[in-house]
Amino acid sequence: MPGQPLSLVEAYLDDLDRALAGIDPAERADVVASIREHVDASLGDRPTAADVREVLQRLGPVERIAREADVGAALAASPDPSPGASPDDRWPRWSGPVLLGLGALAIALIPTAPVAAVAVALAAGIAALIGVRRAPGPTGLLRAAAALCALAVLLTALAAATLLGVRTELPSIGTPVEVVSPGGG
Amino acid sequence: MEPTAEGVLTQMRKGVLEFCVLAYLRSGPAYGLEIATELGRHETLFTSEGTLYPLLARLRKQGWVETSWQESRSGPPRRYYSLTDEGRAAVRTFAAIWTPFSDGVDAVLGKAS
Repeated sequence: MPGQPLSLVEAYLDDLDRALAGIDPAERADVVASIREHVDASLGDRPTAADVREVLQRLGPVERIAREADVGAALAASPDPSPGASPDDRWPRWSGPVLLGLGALAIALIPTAPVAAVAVALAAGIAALIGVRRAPGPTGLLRAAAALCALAVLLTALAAATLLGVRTELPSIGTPVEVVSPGGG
Repeated sequence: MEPTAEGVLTQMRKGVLEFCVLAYLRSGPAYGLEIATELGRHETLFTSEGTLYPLLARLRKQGWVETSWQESRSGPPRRYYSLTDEGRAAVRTFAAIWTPFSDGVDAVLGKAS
């Protein structure tokens, strides 16, 4: 029965492949292929079941190989979280609530300090928009913050327009339009 | 809880075994079974030959080792592992620091006993 010992090999490699499910697919394929080679190189043309068992035993339990692969993956992933690694990881998670708060502050400032309100709304709004693009995970709060800031700018603009509209009715301030019309006539 | 010898060895191998593989490759390219057999002579280095392969995959990813296929007289072509320049530099660094390191450990163990 020449097929029988080799089916032990196939079963072992299948188990190994399943045990490596958590690692990078290319590395997984690499490990399985190189262990298959190791087995082929170890066994002669007509291996007995005992030969196969010995080779597999020396390779060790598939779980142990998988653990080594996991440890390696962890080591490779952790050593230096260098600043240039990934912008996503550097976007702080607290930015959503804070920017939302700034948006609310901007709206609160409109009646008393409209210029400051626009400045705060623009800064927080731009930060929130950048955050929506870069932040890992959910961006709902950042979107809300951006919307709130846009609303703050809009409200300030409306308020300004309304105020200017009111003032244009006063003779002293509504000059620009009226200066032009006599020149045209 | 008292650690087993195997547990302690597992910890110690983590930083060392990969440099043993690199050191072995200084003498020239080798295929997996060859590396496993040679390093396997030293029982403290390996308990399971299979653990060599994730390690080799990692070294390759790291750019310290590269692979190439070479014909074998018996059977299909074999994957040979060889050192890159970076890998060679890594072994040099390891070798330079290993002696003071093991001297330090020896000294502390000597004092403790």
